[in-house]
Amino acid sequence: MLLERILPLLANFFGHESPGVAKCLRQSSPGIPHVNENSRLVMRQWTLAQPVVSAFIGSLVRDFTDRDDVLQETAVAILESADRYDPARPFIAWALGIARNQVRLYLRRTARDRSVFGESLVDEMVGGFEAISVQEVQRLSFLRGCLQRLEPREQLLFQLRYAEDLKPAAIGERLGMAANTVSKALQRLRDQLRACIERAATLERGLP
Amino acid sequence: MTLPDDLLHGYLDQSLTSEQQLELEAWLEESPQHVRSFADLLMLHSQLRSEALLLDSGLPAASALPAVIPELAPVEEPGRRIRGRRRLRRLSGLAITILITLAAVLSFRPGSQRTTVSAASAEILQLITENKAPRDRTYQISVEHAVPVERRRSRVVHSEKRPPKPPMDDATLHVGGSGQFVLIRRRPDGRLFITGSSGIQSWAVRPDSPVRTSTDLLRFSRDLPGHEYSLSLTELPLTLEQLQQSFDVQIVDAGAADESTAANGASIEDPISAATRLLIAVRRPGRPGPRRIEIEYNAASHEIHQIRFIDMPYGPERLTLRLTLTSRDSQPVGFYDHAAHHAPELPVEQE
Repeated sequence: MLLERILPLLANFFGHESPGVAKCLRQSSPGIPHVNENSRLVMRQWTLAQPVVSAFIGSLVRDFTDRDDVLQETAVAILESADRYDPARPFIAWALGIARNQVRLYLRRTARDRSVFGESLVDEMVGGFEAISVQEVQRLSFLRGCLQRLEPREQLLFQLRYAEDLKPAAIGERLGMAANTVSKALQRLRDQLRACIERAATLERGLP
Repeated sequence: MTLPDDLLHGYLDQSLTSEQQLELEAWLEESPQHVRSFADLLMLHSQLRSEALLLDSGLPAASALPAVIPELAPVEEPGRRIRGRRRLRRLSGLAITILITLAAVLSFRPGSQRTTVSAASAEILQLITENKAPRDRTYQISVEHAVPVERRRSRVVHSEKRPPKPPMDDATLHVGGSGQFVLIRRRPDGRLFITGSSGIQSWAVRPDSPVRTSTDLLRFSRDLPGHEYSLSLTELPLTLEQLQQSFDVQIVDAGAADESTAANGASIEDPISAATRLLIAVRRPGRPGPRRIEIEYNAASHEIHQIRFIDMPYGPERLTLRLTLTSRDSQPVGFYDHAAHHAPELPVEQE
């Protein structure tokens, strides 16, 4: 079970005194493997890289449920491979490499022999995601505040698309709207959130 | 070559035709800058999913998160400046939270724990078996949360013709065997509105009105929590079967239930004993009913002592309801007949 694999690593990172982790460990893990300093370094790096890796996986595995599964597998694979990580290498490139392998495994497992995009384009995309800076990742932390400012109708749209993983046609059925209208509304919603994040980031930098 | 935004967003929502997909691919191959723009949009898309998972898991608001991320604020005012190391630490906290949440939340999904699903099915069968015997039970109903829901125009017009439903908060529900129930609600003016079914006829006792009865047993049972989604408390075995059809079900043991409920902000008045289990049912996409149902029961006797319907459509609102078992005492003979709940001189109208 994935949780059983990941909990000992989390426990070692946070310390066994963390009550939640300790409780889960009592129930699910008979033994806690040794985790060295390299593992701790990987855990720290992973916290920053995770949004990028998640987005990369999402570019190839668009179903959210499947994407979440692949992300989870990737997180575990990264933690389990921590000893093999060379700190001289950029962490994000290493993590994206593992994520790419996990996507391949997923495609094989689900009998989808071909990725959405060709291999050369996937290479390009790995490069594109590698180039995302820490500052750009940090800006996404404004998203929560922006989401809280949405109108009720927009909140509902966000819930249906991102929590319930409904596609525009299904959302349209639920709300009595045409699928195309829902698509446009989702596009507007994302544009609006992007603009909100930009505004918040600009204000934080103290620029007009 | 410029690409309409429609194609980028259409890719995210999986609504592109194969021609449009090729068009997008060609555009991406044209320039690394295009790939970067695409990656930026995917970052937002992915983060939206992560935020939705956090919200959907019922984790406490950011301000209530434990000390591991003390600086995480619930709403970021644009004018507020958080700089340097503090900002970085805050983001690290968020990322750690997401990692733990993914490990914890995703582990409850059937896609992640297929072996647990079969275990859950066996447990539900056991629950059905143990709850088949008709027994009187009394539940106290609490409304934990209520939000108005937008409806289609035609439905609004229809619902405006009907009087508002009496509040469900603080209602008492008695259930017996064979569809018998008595639901006692208090109207804002303090007077009681009682509906029920004897198993032979259903009935309603309203203030200043004749008692109404019907041989249609469903006539006055529509207000029972969960009833319109075939999740009636009067027919627990059927309800449990329905759970398997429309919900993804997981069983959490006592210790984990403790954490799960705490993470969901639920308030459980009695401490959960070591012999308690929590059945968590999450509605499948496209299915009607509450977003989530939690059933807390005794692991040994399979006696259900608390049920929560979370985010359940109910009239013009979406409610989170908690039903807590308060009594297993047998009711007196005739308790489920309307006559036991009104003055004898009140006229009775048969529908």
